[in-house]
Amino acid sequence: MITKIENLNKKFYNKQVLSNINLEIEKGKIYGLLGPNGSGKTTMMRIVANLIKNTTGNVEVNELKLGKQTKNIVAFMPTSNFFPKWMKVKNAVDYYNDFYDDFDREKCIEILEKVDIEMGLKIKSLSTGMTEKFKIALTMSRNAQLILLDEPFNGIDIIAKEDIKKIIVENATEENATIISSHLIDDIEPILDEVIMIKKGEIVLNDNVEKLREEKEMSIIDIYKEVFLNV
Amino acid sequence: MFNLIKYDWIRKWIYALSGLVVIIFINIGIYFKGYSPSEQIGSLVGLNMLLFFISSVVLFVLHVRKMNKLLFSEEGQFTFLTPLNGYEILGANLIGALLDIIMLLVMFLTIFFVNTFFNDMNIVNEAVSYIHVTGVDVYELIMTILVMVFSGYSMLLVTIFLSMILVKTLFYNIKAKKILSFVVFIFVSKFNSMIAGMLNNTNIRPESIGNEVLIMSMIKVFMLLLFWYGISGYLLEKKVSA
Repeated sequence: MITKIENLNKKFYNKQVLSNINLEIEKGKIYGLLGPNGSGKTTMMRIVANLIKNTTGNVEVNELKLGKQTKNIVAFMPTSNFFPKWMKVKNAVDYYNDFYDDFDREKCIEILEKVDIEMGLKIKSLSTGMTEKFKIALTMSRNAQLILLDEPFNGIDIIAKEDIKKIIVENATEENATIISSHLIDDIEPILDEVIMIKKGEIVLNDNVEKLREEKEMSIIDIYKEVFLNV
Repeated sequence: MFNLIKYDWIRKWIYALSGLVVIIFINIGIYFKGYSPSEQIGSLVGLNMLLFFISSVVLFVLHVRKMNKLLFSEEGQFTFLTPLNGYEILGANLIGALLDIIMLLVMFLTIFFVNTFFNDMNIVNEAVSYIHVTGVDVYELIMTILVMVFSGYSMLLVTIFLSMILVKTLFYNIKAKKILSFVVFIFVSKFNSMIAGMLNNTNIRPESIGNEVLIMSMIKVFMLLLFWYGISGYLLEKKVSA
């Protein structure tokens, strides 16, 4: 097990965003964190990435409390374009190389070549799809034990989606766990091992994808509709 | 920590170099204006003092803006995701700012000495002789001024950083962050003055420069600086959500 979340709660003022989350994440699997907008997916990921602080509860990554050490083993890709505007692709690659011990520069350059992103380009000149691919390339080039991808398919075309899925699958190993948050179920269903559905800050379903399909004789998108739309 | 300073310099070296080139050209321009020797010296001294003042203000604005971006823009996540703690991130900003000031001082002192060389201004020797007459040790005076400049600027920046961090910690998702930071800054500054008044019963006067009173005052400033740095670093590490 790489991550253990116990009784996690998050409040923003009086608004309860996450309620009593309990979760165990195992290595060698790709998890889908599914739920509609505002369900708490991003908040949960940002807590595990140590970007925001939980109100109560306990989160451990590789038996370590969240902090400087866990940032070394958790790779998080936020949904926003978080790169400083002055940076070129090369600068960001060098930055990751300088800061993260687990960053594989050669692997990153290889991925960037595959998706046609040149090192000399200014990041702010990249299209939405290119930026997503670049963020994925940087994140997946870290040999991190826990990889968190927040809405990696937002606003991108079908070709870019296929490229991104390919990168995710190729870099998911027995030594790491990947969590992908999305409300675009069709896009990620084929690559998931486990699924976690979150509704209004509470986990409503957490199970193995194959097992769910066999037991319910439904696709994940239909199970999702059943959970969230009561269809 | 030093990697943050390194990337800050990768970002701005071209602007720093451009600024230096412009300042050098302005200085060279004065030599070709056809001024009389006394007019030339006056123009060089006046203009470089003005340029130094403008550069200092620009640097100060950039230092505050950098912290503002770190805390209140999405770019901040790029830094907060790195395996650095709050103290290191704050330290990098502070050390980076002080290094900028050192570079600025070195740049203008070099220009000053080059100008004295070409103009036979003899101003340095005259100043040293004057200071000797007053009985003050020149090196001690220079060290005192430098320590006062750096500790004063550090104190100002830490107070501003703390104000921003407090706003970020206490008010999530509020729009008037800059105004609120300024209000908090006023309160923290008042508090600083109050604490300094309680700790320090003596004002820094010219005749006290270099003596024990000044050293004690500086120690008190450093203690206050460390106190606010500790609180700011703690909040950044434990309470601030990026």
